[in-house]
Amino acid sequence: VSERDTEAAHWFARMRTPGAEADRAEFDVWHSDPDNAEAYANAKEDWLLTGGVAEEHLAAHRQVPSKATPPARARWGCRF
Amino acid sequence: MDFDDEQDRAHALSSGDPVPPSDWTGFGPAASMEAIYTAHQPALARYLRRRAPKQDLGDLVQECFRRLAMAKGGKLALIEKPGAYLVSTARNLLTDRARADNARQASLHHSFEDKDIAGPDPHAALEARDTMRRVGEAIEKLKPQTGSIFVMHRFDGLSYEEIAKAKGISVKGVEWHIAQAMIAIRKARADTK
Repeated sequence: VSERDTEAAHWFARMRTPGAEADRAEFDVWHSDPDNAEAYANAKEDWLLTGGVAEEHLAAHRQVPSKATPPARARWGCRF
Repeated sequence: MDFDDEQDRAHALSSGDPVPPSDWTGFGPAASMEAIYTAHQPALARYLRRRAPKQDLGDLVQECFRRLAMAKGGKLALIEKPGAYLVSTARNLLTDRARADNARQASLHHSFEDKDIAGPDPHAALEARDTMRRVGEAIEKLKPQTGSIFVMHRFDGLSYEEIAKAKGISVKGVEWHIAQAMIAIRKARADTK
């Protein structure tokens, strides 16, 4: 991933904040470079693409922390 | 507040709004927008949640606020009823989407009958599936905090503020995690080329 792609990712994330319009002028200057504009368009495309990701890939990040698995001896209910 | 309910809608737009427009003017457009966002985002998200796929929720909410910010030459104080403006924008967006979907369906029907007798390109289909798998795996492999924040924003439609509150971090921190997720996704896509 290039430096430009990284910048595009940060701009993309920044422009989704409610106060993004305050950064609009700075963004426009950055975006006026065609290479930057292309990197930003790629970021937008990536974002749209994620909409089609299967739920199975998201499950790990949705998990509610559960109680630790009880130790084996407690599950079997016998001690030696 | 619920935009589905006339009584609630009237209440949402009354002078009893949490932060009346006259109070916003002294704090600049960014502060005004933040106040409007805080006051109206939850109801707008609820309104859209019932009418649009959940994966599109974040983008629709974002687009509504972007249009609000751009309206009246960016002079938010000139918009008397931001709640009404937002819901009207949401309705227009949903109508546009429905029209676009219909057009796409018609186009697919046409191409099936007239052109794609040979069927879809299996190579392109495999490539697309592989890209989606890689993107999915990239999301799966994100660090727990980054992954959780990305899923909350992208798929559950939570705002940066809501996530910041839930996670006990700053809005800037949420922004940073979203950027990290986007970088990982870009890397996954770049690796496919």
